[in-house]
Amino acid sequence: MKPIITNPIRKSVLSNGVKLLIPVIFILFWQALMAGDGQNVQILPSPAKVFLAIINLFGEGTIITDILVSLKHVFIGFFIASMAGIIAGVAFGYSKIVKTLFMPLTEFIRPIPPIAWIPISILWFGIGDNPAYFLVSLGAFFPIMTNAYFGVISVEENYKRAALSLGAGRKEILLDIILPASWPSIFTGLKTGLGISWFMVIVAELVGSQSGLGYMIQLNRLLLHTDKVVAGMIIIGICGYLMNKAMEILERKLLPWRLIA
Amino acid sequence: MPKIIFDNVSKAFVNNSGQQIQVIDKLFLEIEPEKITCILGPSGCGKTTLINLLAGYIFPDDGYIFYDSQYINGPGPERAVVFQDQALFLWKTVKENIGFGLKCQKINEALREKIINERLDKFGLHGFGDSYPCQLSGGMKQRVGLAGALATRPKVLLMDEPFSSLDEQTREMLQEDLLKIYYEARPTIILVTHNIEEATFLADTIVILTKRPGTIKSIIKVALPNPRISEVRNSTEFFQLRRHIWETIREEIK
Repeated sequence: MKPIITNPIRKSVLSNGVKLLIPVIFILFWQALMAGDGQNVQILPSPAKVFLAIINLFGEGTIITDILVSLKHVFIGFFIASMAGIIAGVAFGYSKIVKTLFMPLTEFIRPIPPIAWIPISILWFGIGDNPAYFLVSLGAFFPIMTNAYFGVISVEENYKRAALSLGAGRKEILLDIILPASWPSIFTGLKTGLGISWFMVIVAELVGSQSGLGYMIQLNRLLLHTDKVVAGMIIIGICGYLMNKAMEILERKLLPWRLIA
Repeated sequence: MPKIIFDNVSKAFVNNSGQQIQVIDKLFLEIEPEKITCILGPSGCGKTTLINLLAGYIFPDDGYIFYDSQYINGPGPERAVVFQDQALFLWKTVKENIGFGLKCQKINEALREKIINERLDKFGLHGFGDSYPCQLSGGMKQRVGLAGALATRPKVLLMDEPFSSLDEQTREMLQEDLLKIYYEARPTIILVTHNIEEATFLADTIVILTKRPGTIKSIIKVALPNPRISEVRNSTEFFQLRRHIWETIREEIK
């Protein structure tokens, strides 16, 4: 007889196993493909070689510096974008005058893809950290601003009415009602913004920087160290994944009042 | 005593297809202070509009509404509101919800804490002070709403179908809780409902509105004994009154 009720622990081991199935097959296939003679490692190194390259990169230690530089670029750029984006979005949503004055300008700039700003940002800021900060904050600003704006304009009228009937003034309406009620939407913007930040920092470092992970993979391409290029790409992926996870944990901490069904 | 008077009040809305719809038409009504007035009427007759006018969220197109001999020119803490769908602040704990009115009135934290704790006990919310609204049942949410609206001891309590989304038992419990609070603090209560039984049980005066455009169909003084207790619901007088109200409203629905 099969048990009708499945053991939850066994089930979770099983489902984790299933999740890993395709990636493992993929890596094995990749390795098998690279096993024969005459494969050009400069086009694609085997997973084993990439794995070794990751170990070596950490052994040499320069990769740590690259990671830290990229994180610094992201955090500073993202911080600027968050401040500016939240303030602008809330102001647009809260005040008709501010919106009428400034929104046409942001709506004009928004359709220009952030990467189209690369040439001019190099002209303005030269090569180094500054174009990275600029491009990251530019890229992250728009989703943060838009989500904050929509968060504020979709605060239910009943909340404001209830607060007014309890004697709330303008300050309480903004700080106790509008801001907290739009937090979930603002946070969605922050998550999207951080994703774009990570994307933009690599692009910025590829072309306009002399440090960071983007610069590191570009440099290793010139040196034809393809194993290090792929290793760098994997590290970029892992960092991005971890940042996203960190944001999800932060969201649960900051928004305990949302029913997580 | 602050009196509420509707003096020749009219209100129209423009619907989505651009038509003007007269919701309330030349309404005269005087609300007795410190009593419970229930407003009944067929759906769409402008009951909620009356509450919104009294709360000061909207203004009449014509005529005046007086509160305490002054025009109502906006929302104010002396006129608390309990909404149909609980307008609890989802991001605030039960304590913060109950204390929000007190906070707005700049009442210091120690006193606030004291009043909040007293309210928690009175409304059967003991132990739930730090919960968020999403963790509460419908009946408890409505109790928090009531506790929050009453925390600042308003003179008037405006209630817009406050119990309509609750199940039968919870609704009756809350009606009795409301009466208990009412006998203590004696605010003027204006309660809009479509539930005839509810109006009969709670009201000192029942105002029946006509179908749209809403105006007064009939005013009924409820002669049931005060204080009302649950047993009243089984009395012959109660049944007779309920039937009379139902017949009056039925003329409007036809």
